[in-house]
Amino acid sequence: MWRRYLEQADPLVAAEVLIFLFVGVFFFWPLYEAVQAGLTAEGRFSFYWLGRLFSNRIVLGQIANSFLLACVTTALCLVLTMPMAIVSTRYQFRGQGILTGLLLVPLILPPFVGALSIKRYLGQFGILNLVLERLGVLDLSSGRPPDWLGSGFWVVTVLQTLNLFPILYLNLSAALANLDPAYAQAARNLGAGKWTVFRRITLPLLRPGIFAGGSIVFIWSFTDIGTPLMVGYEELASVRIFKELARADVSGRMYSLVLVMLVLSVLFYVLGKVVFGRSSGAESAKASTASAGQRLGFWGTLGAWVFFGGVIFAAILPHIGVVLTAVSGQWIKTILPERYTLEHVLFVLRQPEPRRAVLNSLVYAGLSTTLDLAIGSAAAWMLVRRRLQGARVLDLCLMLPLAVPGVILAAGYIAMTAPGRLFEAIGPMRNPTMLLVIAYTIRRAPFVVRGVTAGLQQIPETLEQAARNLGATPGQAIRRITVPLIAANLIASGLLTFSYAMLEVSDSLVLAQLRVHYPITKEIYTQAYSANTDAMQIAASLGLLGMLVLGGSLAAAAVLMGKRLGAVFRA
Amino acid sequence: MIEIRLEGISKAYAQGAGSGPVLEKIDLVIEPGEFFFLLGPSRCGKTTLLRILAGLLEPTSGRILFDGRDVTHLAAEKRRTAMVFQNYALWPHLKVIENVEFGPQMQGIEPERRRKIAMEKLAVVQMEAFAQRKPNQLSGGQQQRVALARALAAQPQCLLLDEPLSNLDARLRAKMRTELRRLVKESQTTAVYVTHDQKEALSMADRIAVLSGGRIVQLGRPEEIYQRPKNEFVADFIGEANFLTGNLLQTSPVKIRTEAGVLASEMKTDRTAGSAVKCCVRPEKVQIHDIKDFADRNRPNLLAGTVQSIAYYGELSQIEVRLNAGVVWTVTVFSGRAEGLLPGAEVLCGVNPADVIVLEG
Repeated sequence: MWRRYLEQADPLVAAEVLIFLFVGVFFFWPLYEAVQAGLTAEGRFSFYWLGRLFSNRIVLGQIANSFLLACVTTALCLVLTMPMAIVSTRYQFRGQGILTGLLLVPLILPPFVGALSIKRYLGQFGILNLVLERLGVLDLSSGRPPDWLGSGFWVVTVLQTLNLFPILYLNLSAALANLDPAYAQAARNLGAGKWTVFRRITLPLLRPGIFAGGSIVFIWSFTDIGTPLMVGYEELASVRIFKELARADVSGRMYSLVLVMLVLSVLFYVLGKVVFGRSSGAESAKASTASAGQRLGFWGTLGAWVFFGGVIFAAILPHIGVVLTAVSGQWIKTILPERYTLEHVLFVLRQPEPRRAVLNSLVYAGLSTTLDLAIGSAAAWMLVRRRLQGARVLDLCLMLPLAVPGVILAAGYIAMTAPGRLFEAIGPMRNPTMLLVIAYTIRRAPFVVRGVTAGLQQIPETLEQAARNLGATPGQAIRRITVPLIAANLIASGLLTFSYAMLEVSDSLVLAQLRVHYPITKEIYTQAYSANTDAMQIAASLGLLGMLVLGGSLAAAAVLMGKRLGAVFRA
Repeated sequence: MIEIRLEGISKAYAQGAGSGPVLEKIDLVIEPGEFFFLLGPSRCGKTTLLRILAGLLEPTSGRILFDGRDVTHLAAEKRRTAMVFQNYALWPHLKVIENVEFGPQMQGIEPERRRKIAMEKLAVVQMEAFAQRKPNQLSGGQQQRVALARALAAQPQCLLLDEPLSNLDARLRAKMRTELRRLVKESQTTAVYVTHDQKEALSMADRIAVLSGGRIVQLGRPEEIYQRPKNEFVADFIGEANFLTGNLLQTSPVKIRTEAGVLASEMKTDRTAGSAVKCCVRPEKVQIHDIKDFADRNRPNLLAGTVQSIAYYGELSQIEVRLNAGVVWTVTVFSGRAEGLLPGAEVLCGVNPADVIVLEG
């Protein structure tokens, strides 16, 4: 009977079951373990740890700081991107294509790596103060020069804003482009001024776009650990979780914090996506008139260039610093390095540990990308073409990692692989290769699912049916027709996933605990915090290598996908 | 050339997508080499039926036989039906020639021969000069021809056409009707054509099945369907029709007392005297007479009325006449015949008993 059942089984349904199992075991199970650990004291269900947490002013302060950080970052992103999105969708100017393309660059520059150079810029004897002295504003020889880093809160906010604003920009400009200009024209026609139209018509209609992009930015900055760690600002809940996870005895106290952060993240996601982000129906209607952009004159174009260019420059400035640090021989109290050398880059390539870290990252990223493409394509196919039962639920499950921060999921993995638990063998203290690959896969699955889904939706189903109709088997139809038509989406999603995995921070820092398993990011972190005199240069050299790999794959993705690259980032 | 036989084909979708069955117990035989039309308004089930023939959908119940062979559960790729899709479904990443070669290639024909077949079929539709282009470099009419060539190149047992002219502009559409019929008839393939355009069906078909609500309401040659519509739906959907209701006075020959006067018909009926009937007359079958021309106004098939409006369409004019009892009829005449006629004029509408259609139901 089983045999007959197996013969009749639809391979796609089998794949669906497998993916559900995968998500269940490696996404829901670890979260359940972490939540359970936070609600257990002395072997029984208890609110003991939660109670302790809510009476601990330090922890509450750190949660508040995280919240504030996320609010400020999201607000800054919005203020920055709203004018950008309006200018790029409502106006035309020379060089627009290049500038709006470059706007996406910050998205792939890891802020974690960029933060390496932040002291170089803002320290007491940093570039900013040195430039100010050169201009005669400051005198560094007398008194204490100002320390621009402060507590680090604002630096983290700015770095995160400069990294994350493209997500909001993409959502906003897509929402604006889909908005029928007739809505605004009707309001103008009835006597509303430009500002009134924006406030009363445009902004409310953009709400879904704002919340869709905003919730991702919010959750990302709410729980980021890479940037705060590198800047040295540690008064955050996420950093606390990270520090406690690194200890041998992870207690219920930590898991109760994980629980609170998880609940808050999911809550913000749901608020952003379901409550406020619900479509107003405005974009479903086909625009009645084409929105031809108004051409900007000379001064307008210049202004746009200064604005866009300034933001892009600010966003890549930290990374320029990293590159310079990597190739600097001596760089003390001067604006630019006194001497340049490839010594550190070569050192990194020759030394076993950094070299192994690069190789490890390549392996983890390569495997997770392959897995992501397989899962993402299968899920997208089920959703778009076969409309399998449960495909919507599967899609939702695969998108949920957007709502669950990396460090939270990593905590779940720690709980799941704790000594004595079922998955101990793949835990950080044994060999976490598989766990790291799976963690990367789960975290990046949303991008691949979205990317491939967008591709599939663009090709009419009749193209595949026509092939079947002319004698192609389902396999032939997919190989000859579907895959070539969505190749660009597949490659772009793959490259994007790969580059993200190469410089992933949360899971890498938490799950790789033995040096033989370190990926690049953990090695950078370790080097940067080592007592070595050349620590910064070595860490920066590693960062440089990572960015080279990343730049290469993204340039390839951009060439292949062109403008469609943006679709991948829309949740 | 194959015979296509449908036996009790029904299709229902799971709850949600619309309500009720899409197709209900369709029985149909399409003769070998016949150019057969499925005609009906949108959502009548005609495209569903075509897709069931292609194997892209499975019927909920019933059987499909190609030359007596049951193909109901045969996979789409094994049916050797070639379809011309409404949006043509030309693969954008393949050149015209590669599109057309696809069918022969799937049949395992070696490259040289399949290229020859493809070029032949492109020549048939006069598109051989465009063989190296990509589909998106072609106009709508050209794409339509390539889609037809691609279907023909597969040397199918039967050709399926899903509203292939609906994406063309009116002038091209009219031109392509004649050409498409010639190409299909020359290919000597059994062909099934789906459309909602009655003019297309009347001018191209060997036989037409009119569908409504998932059922075949009438089956016949174009002239039969037009001249002897079975019921009000067919009469109204195909061409224009003037309706009158009344009671059967006598059955042979048929005489009907309507609210506007008595009508005699040459049609036979199996209903009994006294029962209520509905009849119809095509607008071009009505003659307009000056009221002074007839002294005996109570003759059958002569209905008195008042001209309400006259619309001039060039060679034809359409006159709206308000008959007694308030029924408004449309009358189509050559424009010369309407000269001198003004709204408000009293007229008589004459109908030949051969042109009075007694409807069922």
